Amino acid sequence: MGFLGNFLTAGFFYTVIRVSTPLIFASLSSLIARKAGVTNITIDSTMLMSALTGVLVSAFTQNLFLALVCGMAVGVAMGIFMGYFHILMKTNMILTGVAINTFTNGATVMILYAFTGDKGSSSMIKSLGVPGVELPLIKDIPVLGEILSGHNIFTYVAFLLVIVAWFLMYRTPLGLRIRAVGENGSAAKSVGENPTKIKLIALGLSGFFASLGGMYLSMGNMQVFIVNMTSSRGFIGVAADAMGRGNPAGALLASLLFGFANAVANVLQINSFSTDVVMAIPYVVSIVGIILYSMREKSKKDSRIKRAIAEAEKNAGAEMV
Amino acid sequence: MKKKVLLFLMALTMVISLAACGKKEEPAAPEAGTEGAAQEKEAAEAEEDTAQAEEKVEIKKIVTVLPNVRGDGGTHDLACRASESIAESIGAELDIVELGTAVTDSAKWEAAMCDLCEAGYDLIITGGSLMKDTIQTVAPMYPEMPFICYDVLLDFDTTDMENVYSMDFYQNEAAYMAGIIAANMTESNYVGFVGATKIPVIYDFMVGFIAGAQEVNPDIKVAVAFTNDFNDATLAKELALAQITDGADVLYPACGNAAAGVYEAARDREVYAVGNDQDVAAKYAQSDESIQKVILASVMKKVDNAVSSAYERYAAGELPFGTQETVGVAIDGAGVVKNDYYEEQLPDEVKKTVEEYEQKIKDGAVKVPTALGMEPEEIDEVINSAQ
Repeated sequence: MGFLGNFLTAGFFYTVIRVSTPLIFASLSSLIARKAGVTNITIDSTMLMSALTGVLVSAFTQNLFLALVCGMAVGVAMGIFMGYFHILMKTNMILTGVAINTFTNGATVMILYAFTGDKGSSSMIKSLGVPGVELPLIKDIPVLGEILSGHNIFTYVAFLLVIVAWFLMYRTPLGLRIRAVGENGSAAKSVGENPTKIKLIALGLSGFFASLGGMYLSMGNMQVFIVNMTSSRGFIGVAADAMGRGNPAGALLASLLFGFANAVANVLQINSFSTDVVMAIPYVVSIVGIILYSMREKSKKDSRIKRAIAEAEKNAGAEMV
Repeated sequence: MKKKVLLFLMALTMVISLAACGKKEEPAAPEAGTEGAAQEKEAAEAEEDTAQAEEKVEIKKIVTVLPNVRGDGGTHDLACRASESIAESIGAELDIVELGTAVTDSAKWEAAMCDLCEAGYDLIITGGSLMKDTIQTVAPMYPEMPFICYDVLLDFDTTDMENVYSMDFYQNEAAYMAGIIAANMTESNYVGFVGATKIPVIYDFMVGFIAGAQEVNPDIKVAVAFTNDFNDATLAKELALAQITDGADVLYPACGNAAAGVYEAARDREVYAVGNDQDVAAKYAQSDESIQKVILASVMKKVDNAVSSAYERYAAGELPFGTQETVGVAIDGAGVVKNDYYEEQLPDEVKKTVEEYEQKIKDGAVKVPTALGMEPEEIDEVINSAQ
């Protein structure tokens, strides 16, 4: 029936990149928080809040730059808000996260209603969007150009931020501090670091990354805010980070894998495969991915142990002789 | 101390989020007043019995109860708007009570409904299929309280509800008209349907749409996709884009707020969409003309008309309480929204075809199939018939 033709096209891979973009932002957001030793489960609600802020500010000021700045500021504030409770007030991370998520679910509806008189979507007001761009030179390369060029600016920012995140974590003093605090807070403290401050900075950064993911949804990919429009993409981002094992490149690949699974599911649906099975694909892929990864890790560890034992035996044998 | 402040703050956030779900507080039943009110009611009843000639209903306080929140972009918004205009025209007080997002919580809803029945309202307007059990439990307990119910099919055979009037809509007929329009406007002979979750109402839209499209062209292809979510506009957009890539050039969503994604996809790829649930073109005309231009027409359940006319009949003492009415294209209870946008967007011959089929449905010459009561296999068959 020729549906394979639907996958092996430039358009399909273009879709994969588009679908992956919010996941890349979310996974980087999770990565930075996790490096500092915090599992940030408020990424989804941070995205939602920033998505709303961006749309509202752009609609009422008609100033795209201001809207982006406000959206980012709200994201950073949400991250620090979480940090305030969890780090300064020492509350349970999960409880704090759940409270903030519940709060955001209600607050976004309330704010949307206050400004637009609608509790479902912002389509009554005219908000702005970030445009897509054609990449010079690259767009002329036959297939590759079709896949890589013409995306939203947010998408290119996402890929750029993967490199930035890597550089930040492994090539700057701040990154070193964040990792040190995440590995062992007391050790970092003993050498004169301030773990509280560094964790707050990391959560602020995490909120910043999440805010871009949220604004991509409401100001890049679409130009409208819908209540709960993130639909758990923030949580998928946390999963992608877990799969990427705290490595920005790994997080990127995991996000692309999720995006790929989603795009496959969408195309299969159109070709009238049983939708119930198809809808499970992205989740099955994530579980299989994690299983394969941990199996590989385990076999690596096993072989390391075996090698160590063999070496020890050899040494022992040498001593005996 | 810190812990206490924190606990307080967390409790506060939860309360705020709950408060955001239901904007207006449910009015608590006036404890002391209930008995008095009941006695008064009895007295009034006796009076009414003696003076039956006096039939003019005086309404001072109306309450509209939603099994959802406002902003569903469809049925309940329209009912609220109708209630507001009724209240304004007769100078009555109106309270709108939102029972929360679309998850049935019968125990809570029944208690809330009982409270409202005792809170001194003269008329209750409520509806939605999720409300069915609540209405059937509470309404018989308050036989003096008139209920006008929209978009719900009540069981009048087993439950005695002389105080309830209920109407529902032939959404399949509205979708059928969408199918007629889509099939007339497609150039690729390929149209797309994006549904939300797989529930009977959404299937009913789908079956109607496919039937309408096949009526115009038996060989037409209809792509069918589901978002499994009423708010995931991003996914709705992806599915719509995939359908367009596959060749579809007229799309029809039935996925609540997520439909915005389908309209945007149509705009981005320069194909057409048929609006659903509300007058989509009019909505976008204020905010985004580029989307308004790709909306061929909108089909909807005209809940606002139906509620208003039910009220008018009630005020005139003509509303048939204790019965269920189903309204469709025949009496303009559901169907195509006809306004300037409609006139502008469709070529004359398509408009003529639309009228032709409206007439056929009215005459009974066309019977639109419904998914209500269909077996899953039959529904699959319908989908497969259009591939």
